[in-house]
Amino acid sequence: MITLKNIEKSISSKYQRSFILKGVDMEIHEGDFITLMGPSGVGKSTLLNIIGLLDQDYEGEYFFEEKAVHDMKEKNRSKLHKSEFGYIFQAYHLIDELTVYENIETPLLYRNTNSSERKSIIAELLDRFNMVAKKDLFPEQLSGGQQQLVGIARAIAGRPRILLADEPTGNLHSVQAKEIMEVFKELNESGTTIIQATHARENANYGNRLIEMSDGKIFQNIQL
Amino acid sequence: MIYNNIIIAWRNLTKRKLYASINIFGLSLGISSCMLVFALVWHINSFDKYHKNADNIYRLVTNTFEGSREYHTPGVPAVLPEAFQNDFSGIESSVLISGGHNGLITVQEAGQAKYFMESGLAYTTDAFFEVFDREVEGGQSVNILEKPNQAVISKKYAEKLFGSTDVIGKTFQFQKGDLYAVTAVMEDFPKNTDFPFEVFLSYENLKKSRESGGWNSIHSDDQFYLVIKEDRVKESINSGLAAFVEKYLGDNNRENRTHLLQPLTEIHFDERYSNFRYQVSSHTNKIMIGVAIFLLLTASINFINLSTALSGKRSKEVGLRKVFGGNRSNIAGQFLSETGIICLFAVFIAFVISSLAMPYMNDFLGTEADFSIIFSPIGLLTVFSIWLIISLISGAYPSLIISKLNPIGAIREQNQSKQSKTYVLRKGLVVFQFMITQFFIIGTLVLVMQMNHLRSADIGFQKDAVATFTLPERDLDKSRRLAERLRNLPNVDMVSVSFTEPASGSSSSTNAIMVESNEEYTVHIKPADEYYLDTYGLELLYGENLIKEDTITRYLATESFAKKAGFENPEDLLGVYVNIGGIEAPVAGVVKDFYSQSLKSEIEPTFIFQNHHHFRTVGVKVSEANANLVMEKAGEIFVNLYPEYPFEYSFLDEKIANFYESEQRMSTLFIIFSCIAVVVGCIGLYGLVSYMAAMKTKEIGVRKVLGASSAQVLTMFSKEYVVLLLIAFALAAPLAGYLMEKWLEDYASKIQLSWQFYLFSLLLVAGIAFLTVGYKSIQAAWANPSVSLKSE
Repeated sequence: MITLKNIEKSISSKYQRSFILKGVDMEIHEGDFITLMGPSGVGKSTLLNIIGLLDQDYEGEYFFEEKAVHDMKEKNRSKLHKSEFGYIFQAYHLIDELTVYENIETPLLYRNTNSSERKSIIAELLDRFNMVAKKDLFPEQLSGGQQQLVGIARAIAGRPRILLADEPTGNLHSVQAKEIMEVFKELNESGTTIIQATHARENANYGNRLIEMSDGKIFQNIQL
Repeated sequence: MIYNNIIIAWRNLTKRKLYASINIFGLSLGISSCMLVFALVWHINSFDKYHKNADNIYRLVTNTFEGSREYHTPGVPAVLPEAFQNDFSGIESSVLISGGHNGLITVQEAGQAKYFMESGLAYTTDAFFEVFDREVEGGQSVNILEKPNQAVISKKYAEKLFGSTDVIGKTFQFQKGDLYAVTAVMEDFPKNTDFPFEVFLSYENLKKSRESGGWNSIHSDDQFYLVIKEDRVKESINSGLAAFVEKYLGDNNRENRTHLLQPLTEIHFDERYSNFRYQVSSHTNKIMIGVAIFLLLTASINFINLSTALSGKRSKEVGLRKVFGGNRSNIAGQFLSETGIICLFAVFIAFVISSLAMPYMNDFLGTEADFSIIFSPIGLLTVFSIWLIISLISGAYPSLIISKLNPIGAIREQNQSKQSKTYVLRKGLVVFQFMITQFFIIGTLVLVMQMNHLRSADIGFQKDAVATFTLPERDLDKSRRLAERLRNLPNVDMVSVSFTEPASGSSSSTNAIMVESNEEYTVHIKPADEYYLDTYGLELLYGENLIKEDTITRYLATESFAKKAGFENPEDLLGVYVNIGGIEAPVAGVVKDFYSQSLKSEIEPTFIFQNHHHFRTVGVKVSEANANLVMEKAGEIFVNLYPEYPFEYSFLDEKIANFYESEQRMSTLFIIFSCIAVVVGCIGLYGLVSYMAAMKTKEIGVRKVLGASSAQVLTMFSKEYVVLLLIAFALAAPLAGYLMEKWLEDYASKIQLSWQFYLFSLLLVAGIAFLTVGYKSIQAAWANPSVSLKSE
């Protein structure tokens, strides 16, 4: 589904060029549940951003189902981005001024989904995450775990095929973290491809592949 | 989507109540000032535009020259119209209006006489209704002012005189003389006309006495109006005027008289030629438009400044929206609709403010501007454009800059480089705003100082404790009796009967011929009795005062005449024979110069002499602090002698102050507008400093932990604004100085703009800025670093 060939990203300062990613090759298949692991600064988030089409500033080749993303025009890339990817952040990053309902609705608005369809999708998601009663609350009125559930709901509302999660449980305590991982597992089982970056080894157990990174390179690629 | 945008806009507003209210309030102040000025300017410019002939009506005005000086009058000789109509063809219609007549109207009702003191009556003919649009009841507009003793009165006036509008055939007496019969009733005059006449009398009654002066006598209130439709006719008149003057004046044209066609549309603005109502100089008109634009600009800049400052806080939201599929146009749309909505609020508030303020402004300016003009298509279109432009500009920055941010960076709020760019922009805007504020402050200071100067300057005579009133009748004996009785009142020091007080709006000038050399000079004349100098405190420098006499045997002249006539030593003028109006007499005394009009005009060479035919003003100098009480007694004596007339007096200092009424009004208006500009500026500054303080909370915390004192933090804050302030001052001071010097040129007597003056205005703005910025800065400087750092 996704093929990365010799991806490199570097920052040039006055005297030297330091690499964040160096020679990364990667193959992602439909239905994969991949965990990226490694210490802070190793390039996990950068790699996720590149995969998620949020960062164009890299060298190397990126194919999405045979289409060369690195050569793609802005318009097509943004179309691809909109239709295929969903994002989940460590700090949830909900829009503070919007209610739970409206936060989930945002990606649908940008996809021009019509009103009645929007309603049914959101109702279904609220129901699935047991948040029906909380739909009119604002993010600050929710606990961290609940916020992250909203974050997930928002990420999958547009029915993306690939879900990218950057430290999704980093701000949560273990019970909430477990709950979130269960949700991921369910999503994966129903066909969504998931790539997550994490520090926690136990989270990797929910997936089918573990990629360990070190110094901007892939250090180990383990099938679980 | 729109709904979503509106929701977000509303929540952002309510979340940051302080910013929102500051922002909206500042903008609505700017817009409401703009609306008020719009209504006012519209009103001023609508004068006499409603006549169907408006574009084709002209007034024939007169210019005369003496040396290099040009004199202007809106009047023509009363004999001119007839000759004019004979000599020029193609004129559609024309009319002579002799306005400015005052006097007593007497109505007999059931054997009982009712008296009305009226001013502003006019003598004219039927042709008035041909030239101007003024509806006559029943449509009969011929033969109503053709024969002697006919009168046309307005509906309002008919009610006043007779208590009904069915008054045709009823009669009234004017000035205890001619009896007039009402031949028609006309509609009341509209607010926006310079012909505010309630009563027209048949010109036939005035014609003889007016025409006796021939071609040499011009009354400024005898005005000749023409309707000329064809350019060809206009051109032939313009080219034929010189020959026309030559034909009738011939060798008598000593003052190089010329005539000129003045379009009706300029009458309200050209202050060189007066009209029958009030005028607004085109200067004032332009200044007001400029002030409104400046106010709107500063309020908009404020708004833009604050909105952009706030939008920086929202980069995270923008980043997220982009991650979830929002493209640039979605984001831009969101910001634009937000600013649009906020702006709309401001517009609504401005509607409320300005409609409430309108009556006060009209009262204050003596105008009758109508607020409903704002709701006319052109008014609404203007308001709509203002709304659109401000929304677009203040929405454009976040739409263009923030929507361009890299989403991941935006979410992490890592946009320091972009921030610094907008910081420069914001500084530029602050400088601009300071500049406008300073401009207003300097302008206001100049106005106020000049006004004080005018009021306190030496005008060459005493104006305190002198009351004046008008003599109702020209009966010499009666007036002498009146003066004598007034003199016997306790606490009355002096009483004088004269043409006018020393400084007066109505002045009279004529030619003085030196008998020996036959040299001619234009001089102002002040017919007066022998008590004139003492009553008004005029100083006799050389020679003797006037004496009591019925024929003129001596003149008093002012110093400046001596100078003009070439007498190095004014004393040498004594005994020199002068011919004024055919009467030869020696100069008996030389009087110290005084302003014979107002401080706006130059000091004119002036002659004072006994000529009781022109006496119409009584001046009473009182010695008691409570002058009103004394004047009450004077009133009893007056009513005793003139039972039909009401007794109305005024004090000379108030009258003099009235000369500067328009300046006074303008300076007050300017003060109000500059206060608004200052308030709006402060609002913006406060908002910006709060924002800056919030942005720098962490920096300040870290600095304090590292050992910076509160004073050092405060310096860090202030340094920046001081620099901006100085830049703005350097831009504003020369511009304001230049414009105000221009304005001061209109005055013969004026203040000097010194460097202390500029320093003072700079300190004033700095003081205001510090008061605004100080509180927030001190708050930030004193904040406990452990608290401010923890929140990060």
